[in-house]
Amino acid sequence: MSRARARFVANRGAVLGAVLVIGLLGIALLAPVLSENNPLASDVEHGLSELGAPLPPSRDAVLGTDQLGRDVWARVVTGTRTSLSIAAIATLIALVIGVSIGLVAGYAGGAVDSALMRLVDLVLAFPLLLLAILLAALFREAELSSSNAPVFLTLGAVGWTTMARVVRGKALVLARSEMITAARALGAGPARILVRHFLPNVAGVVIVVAALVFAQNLLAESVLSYLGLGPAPPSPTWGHMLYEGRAYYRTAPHLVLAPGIAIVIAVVAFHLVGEGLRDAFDAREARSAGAR
Amino acid sequence: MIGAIVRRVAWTALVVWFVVTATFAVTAAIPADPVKALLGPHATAETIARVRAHYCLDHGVVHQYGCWLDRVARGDLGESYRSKRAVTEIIGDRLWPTVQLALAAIALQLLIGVPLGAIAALWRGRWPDRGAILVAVIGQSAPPFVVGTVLLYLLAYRWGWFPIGGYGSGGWDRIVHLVLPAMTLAAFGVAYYSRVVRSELIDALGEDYVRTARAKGLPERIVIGRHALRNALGPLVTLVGLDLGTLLGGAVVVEFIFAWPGLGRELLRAILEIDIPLIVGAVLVVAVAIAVVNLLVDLVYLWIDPRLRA
Repeated sequence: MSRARARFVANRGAVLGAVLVIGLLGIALLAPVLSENNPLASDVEHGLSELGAPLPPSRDAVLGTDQLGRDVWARVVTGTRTSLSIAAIATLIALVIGVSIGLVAGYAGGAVDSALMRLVDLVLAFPLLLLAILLAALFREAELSSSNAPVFLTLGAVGWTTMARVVRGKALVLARSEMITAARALGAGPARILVRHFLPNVAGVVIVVAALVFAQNLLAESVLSYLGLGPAPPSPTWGHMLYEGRAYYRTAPHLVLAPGIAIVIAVVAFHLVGEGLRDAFDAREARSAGAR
Repeated sequence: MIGAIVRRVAWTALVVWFVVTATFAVTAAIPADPVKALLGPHATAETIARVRAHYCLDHGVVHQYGCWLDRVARGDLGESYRSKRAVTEIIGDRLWPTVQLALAAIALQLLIGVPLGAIAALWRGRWPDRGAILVAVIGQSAPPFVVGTVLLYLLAYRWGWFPIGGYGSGGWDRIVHLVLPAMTLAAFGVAYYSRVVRSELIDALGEDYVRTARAKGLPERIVIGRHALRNALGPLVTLVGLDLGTLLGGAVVVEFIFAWPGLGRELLRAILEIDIPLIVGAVLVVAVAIAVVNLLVDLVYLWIDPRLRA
């Protein structure tokens, strides 16, 4: 474990990513403190030009104002919280589904394993973004539209396949190890073996894949929001800000650039951390996880 | 060889069946009444009865499923709620623009991604490598609409080199209109291909056959071009096949930004308007197309790599 930590710290990209992630979490936690302006309050008197257009960045509004005269910095900061929490819940869902399926497949082996892996292949046969768009539209129809639930349910339901594959690969090897034979000889049942012996041993790869899935979820949330399938207003997420600002890209490019750059920074940060962890744990099973 | 082909064809058939069944499950799960959506509130009882019979709505789910299979087999995907046109006809109109876009994007990914990855591998650890990695990290992390909006703002609006959007009127005009959407769509793939080529080429350069080629006194140009790079490009064949799905998904966003009249934009409009037959039909066609292309890629792979024929 400590060797892994030393390798992580020696990796400049990973450290940069970790610093950025901590910074983002800090911003998410301190959102109300970091901006004195209300992210939801539209200020028609001071927040818009005489012609009613969004204002460029100035001293009063560091990142300018949007088409309703709302403070863009305040919205980006508040959006950090919403975007990160949606991605976190979605990652958690994907993690629970993926780890369960992966562990069962790897532990049981044989027919159960091949059936579950065929299921993964079938899900992957769909273009994932199309599937996400379809699911998001369906969940939205199903009276969940007033919350963020359609978005994280969709991302969770679509994003578990990599996790399942990677965990299954690790579990297949574990199932044949002497440690497990010994545990079985001591009379441990399947539940105990899975929880006490498999889980701790797959934790490394799970963390690596989770960081990469998190980055993917941030990206996917923004795409869904941009298409109008994201979280319901007024809660500002980065993708939703882009969606609202896209019509103004000529006259007020800061409406697109501010949330756009925030997304890129966040996704890069989680990618760097994920890849740094992968190299640190030497988790080569997770190599394919960087793929789409 | 025959066994391997049969296995892959059977797998593709299973995928197609799964897609057809999943799309049926979606239509069956939606609470909206398709007849009302299709005919509106003023339809006569007689028309309603006819439409209900056509979609087998008076029978149980099992019968409806059989009915759906039968209709799909005959190429009948129903009518769009909005335009009342046959779904197959709409998809037929929209398919070609998207295919052009996807092909252009794949071409860009190969033309930019492969040299970028090769340069990074050959100058490993030095500034060209660092630069290529930076491009790759940003390319993989930037959402398509950010890339698209930046390109649109700078190259089209500010400098006026390219049109703001639209399909163009064929020939050169079409190509000019195609550049920005294709670049946007290719951004992720360029980054991804360059990373794959970089790591594969670094592996290949460490192989014995490269040392042998150098020991024979072959010029470095041939050692890299003929021996190392050729082996490093193998995995790209699979990637290009898998990419088709990603590209068609990404096309939804890109076509939306650039007003490209393709299947992606049509699908998005259908989703936002809850035009169920069109959504189901488009997803079905796309998923089946991807399954078939992946089959072709597998077969090509069998042909170029004899080790897989077992």
